Amino acid sequence: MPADQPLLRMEGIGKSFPGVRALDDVLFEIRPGEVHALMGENGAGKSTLMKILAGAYSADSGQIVLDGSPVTIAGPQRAAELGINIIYQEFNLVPQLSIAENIYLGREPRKGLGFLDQEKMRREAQAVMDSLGAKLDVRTPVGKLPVAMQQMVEIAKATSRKSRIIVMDEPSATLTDHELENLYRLIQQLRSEGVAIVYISHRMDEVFAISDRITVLRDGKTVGTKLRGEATPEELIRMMVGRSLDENFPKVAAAPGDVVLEVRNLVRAGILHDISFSVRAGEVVALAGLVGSGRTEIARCVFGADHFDSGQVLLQGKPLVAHGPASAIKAGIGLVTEDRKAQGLVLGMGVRENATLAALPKFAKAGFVQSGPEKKKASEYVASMGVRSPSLEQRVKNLSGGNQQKVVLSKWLMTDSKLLILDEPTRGIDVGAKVEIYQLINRLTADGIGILMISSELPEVLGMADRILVMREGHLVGELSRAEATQEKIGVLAVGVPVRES
Amino acid sequence: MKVRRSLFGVNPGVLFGFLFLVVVLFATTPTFRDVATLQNLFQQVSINAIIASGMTFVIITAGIDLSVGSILGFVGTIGALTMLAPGIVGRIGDSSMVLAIIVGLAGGSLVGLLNGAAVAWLRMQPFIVTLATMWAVRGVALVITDGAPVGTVDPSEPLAQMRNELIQKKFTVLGMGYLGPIPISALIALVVVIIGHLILTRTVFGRHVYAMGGNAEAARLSGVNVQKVRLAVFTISGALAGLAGLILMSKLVSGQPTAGQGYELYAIAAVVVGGTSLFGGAGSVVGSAIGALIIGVINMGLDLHGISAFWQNIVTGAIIFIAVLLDEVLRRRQE
Repeated sequence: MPADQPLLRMEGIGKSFPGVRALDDVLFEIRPGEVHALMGENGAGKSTLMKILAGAYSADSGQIVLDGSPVTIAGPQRAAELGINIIYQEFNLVPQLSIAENIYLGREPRKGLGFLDQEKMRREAQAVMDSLGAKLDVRTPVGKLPVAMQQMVEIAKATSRKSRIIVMDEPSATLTDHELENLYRLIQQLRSEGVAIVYISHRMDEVFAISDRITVLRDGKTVGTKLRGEATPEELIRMMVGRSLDENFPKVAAAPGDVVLEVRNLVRAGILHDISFSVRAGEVVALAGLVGSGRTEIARCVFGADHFDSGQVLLQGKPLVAHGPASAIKAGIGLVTEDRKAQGLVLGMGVRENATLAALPKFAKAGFVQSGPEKKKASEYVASMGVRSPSLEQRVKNLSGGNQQKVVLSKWLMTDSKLLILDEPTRGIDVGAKVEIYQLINRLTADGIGILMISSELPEVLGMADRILVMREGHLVGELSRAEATQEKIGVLAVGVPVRES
Repeated sequence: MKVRRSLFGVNPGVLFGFLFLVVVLFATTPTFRDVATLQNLFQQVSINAIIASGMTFVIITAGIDLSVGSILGFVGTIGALTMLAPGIVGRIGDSSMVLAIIVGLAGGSLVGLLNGAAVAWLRMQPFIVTLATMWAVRGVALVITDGAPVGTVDPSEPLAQMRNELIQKKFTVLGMGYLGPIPISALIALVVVIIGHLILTRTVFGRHVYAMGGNAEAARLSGVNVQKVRLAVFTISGALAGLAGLILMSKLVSGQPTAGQGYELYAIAAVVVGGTSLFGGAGSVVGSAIGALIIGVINMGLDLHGISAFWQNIVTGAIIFIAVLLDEVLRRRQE
């Protein structure tokens, strides 16, 4: 078969979600037997594109051409019939079932009368696993396997379905070096059988180790496709992050005051390694780095939501002694969580109840909430934050993302926070509301509040931060001032590629 | 939304159906209009209303308490044993009733505290924990009484007259006494419901109960001590089951180790009919009391019309089903 003839071509793909244009005129092409790396920042559209390929989403525009003829992929079942299989980061395995049962889940071999053909299932599953070089008894429950082996089972599931295209979404995230070598070997084997692999990864070394071609997405658009031989890490980073700062960042630099937060030698075994830094009053310090580099973990440790093994957290010079969110809040820390709906809000409650939840004892006499002062304070903050809601009693689940975030901010201003930790403060918020959140951040710093901001969006980090701390694999690997920071410098620190002197 | 709030979370359909039924019963059934019938009704409903009030706290946190029926039996026996112990009666006379009440409430609270501790600190599931205490507590009641009721004593026993007077006359005030035309037990239930309602709607603790049921992680990250809330709701449920147990003991004129079997399910039914969601985060004590009343009135109506207890089971099942179905329909329409 001619290797330069595309096996699959996705062209002109567009997809919108409310308030977000996730994909815009994307072109992506896969040839038989190639390993095609797909790269891009978080939110660049990689997962959305792959979900369209897998039939989990349908595209608003564009077409998918398989073997030269257009196909419609209406659902995951159809994708599997066409030989397209995806291995998601979160595995789709039933832990209680055996390896064999998982591999054949939903298409179990039968004898007459609907009885399982256990013998056949076991034999064929064993053959598939053996061919992958995994020496495992297929009767073992999947839940008892280490993560890498579970990944093998996922791959076995895909290969036993006679796949023509296998998409691997950050397969290396959970693997050790040795396991990674096995995975590479497996990929080579699949490739030699003519299976095409789409390999999603952030890690440069991996991408350069195994891929034939590399496509970079940014902001839902295809930036370009490169042959491995003609690409350099620096170039790829530039392609990934190199958008102009055309978003409006109304940054007002406030004069930093005294140190509000000081973190000394924070250690959480295996996750955070000897982290020390400080945040001053009126200053925005950003924690940059890839997802999983330990940014959120720092936030949760400082706030007392997770325990840490050693180190100290000091607020305005005083160490936080008691552990837990309650004492952190009392000391003056507020945490705007990454996942607003799961951790930040009680969705079934109203605006007022959410806004006053953390500061409720302040409105209480002898345990009874004084509803007058509570309402007054709530409406005051809601107005000053610019929350747009039909009433104070409106359930927050009915508000837009931006307004929900303002309710969360109101909650932490009511507790008189000295330090606010903002974890992905503008995630899932449309552009207009983003600017409002940035303006609120300016107001907070002007009032002398210290801000520790975590963001995966580099423009946001560059646009709003006074200082930038870059994390990689649980280590604090660098600090950049606002003046010296560039997207390339942060990107290079975050992925760990040395910058070549030019 | 506004409509629902003003009705304490009870589905308007359920409530109007209920009011319609009351009107029909009033019009068609002369015996339903008797004061004695109504007194009897409220006496019966009050026990379930008290248990359901405590259960509401637990269910709003998305938990469940299966042990309350057994607590009724347990508290009845330890209460009766305390009240009638010759050593105690001989020393403090009628005050042994007060002691029995204290012991009963403490016993119920203790079981609740154990439930709460297992749920909060051992992170066990409420269903499993209270299923275990349901069996164990019932067992304790049977063991300490050898399976026999604790009540009227043989005249030959020491202080027999005093003891029999306590259990047969004085203590019956709780379950069968009246203040004017109103049963004492109904007054107690009313006070419990009012206080429960105030706690849930007006206090910081009450807000924390709802917040925890709505989103435990968000509540924790807002500084709510969720462990303490878990501990408290189970203790409240246990204490109120203890109170109900004392009233039941008064009505039965004895402490019966087998008393209260299946009452946990009546209470859960009342809570559910009253509009509280088993998923947590929403509900009201007043709703649960209305739920208890609905089930009580319908069963009494069937009674008055001579329909057998067997049929009453079928009807109770149907009410629960319809109430929850209506709730689901309403919720879907709102979203």
